[in-house]
Amino acid sequence: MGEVIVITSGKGGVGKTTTTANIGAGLAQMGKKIIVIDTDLGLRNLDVVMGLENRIVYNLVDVIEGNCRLKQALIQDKRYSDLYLLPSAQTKDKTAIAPEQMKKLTDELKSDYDYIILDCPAGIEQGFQNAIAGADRALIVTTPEVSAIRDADRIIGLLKDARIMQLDLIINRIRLDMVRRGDMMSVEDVTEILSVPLIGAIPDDEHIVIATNQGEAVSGSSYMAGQAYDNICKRITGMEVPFMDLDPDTGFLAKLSRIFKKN
Amino acid sequence: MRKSSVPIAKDRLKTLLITDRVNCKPNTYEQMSKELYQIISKYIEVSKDDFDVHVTHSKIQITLVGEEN
Repeated sequence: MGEVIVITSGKGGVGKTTTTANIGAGLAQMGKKIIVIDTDLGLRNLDVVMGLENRIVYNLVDVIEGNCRLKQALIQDKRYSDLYLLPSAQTKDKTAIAPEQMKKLTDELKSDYDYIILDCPAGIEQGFQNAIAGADRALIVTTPEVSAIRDADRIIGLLKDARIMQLDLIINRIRLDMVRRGDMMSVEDVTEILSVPLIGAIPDDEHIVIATNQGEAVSGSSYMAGQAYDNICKRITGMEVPFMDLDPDTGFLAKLSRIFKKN
Repeated sequence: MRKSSVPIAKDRLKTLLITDRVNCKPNTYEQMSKELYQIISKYIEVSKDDFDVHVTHSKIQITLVGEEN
């Protein structure tokens, strides 16, 4: 029986879609069968981040309205054969789907997939209500900024009101150099403020921008952000993984690369 | 040397989250803390620097923690 995970943040631009794409790819790499669903009606993005934008024929609204069968709308990932995308509609508005319809769809998908991952739109309106309707658990993405943390706190309150009890925190775009000089809140600071268990922190890594430009995931790579996403995926499946050192100068990978550079 | 900006961010967040969580006016937290301090200091010896009010999503819970010596 699959698990429905919603990836949400409240604030826009903190990295929900990139997180969805990378966790989808990371879990698929672990041999899980995955479907990622873009629930942002009118502002389709997940297809672009995954590099699948040219293959879209049908979308989420078509499936819900019965214009096509689910299989016809699904797009198989380029790299992982067990990773599928159900894209959003670019033309419909956010009232085209109701929460009950979304819940019915995700409930049906549970028998075919290990994880159903929903990329939630920003905001707390109907798109958010749709995305959380069938969710078993939520991953809350934030960055170490006042506005993003404030919105994350509101979202946490709304998720608890909706009786979604398993909440985990992802802190994105951590810059250890800034944390060290006291100009960025640390992973510990943010976790303490939000009082939700941390499932992973992602360093602000330029390889994410490069991979996104190419429509690829960083998970499964040796880059720091890739390793951080892989660790989150393992923790999602229940494995215990120690939290990594995000410092680019003293971290394990930096030490490793220095060893290789010497030779 | 310039002061680090994290304490400012944390202070602003603290007030913001309380305002959001209990849905009150921005200065309510300050006032509430002040009044709670006055009430508690009537019965227990506390110093202003160590007095702190936390508001969370959980059910109401009052914890009084003594100063470390």
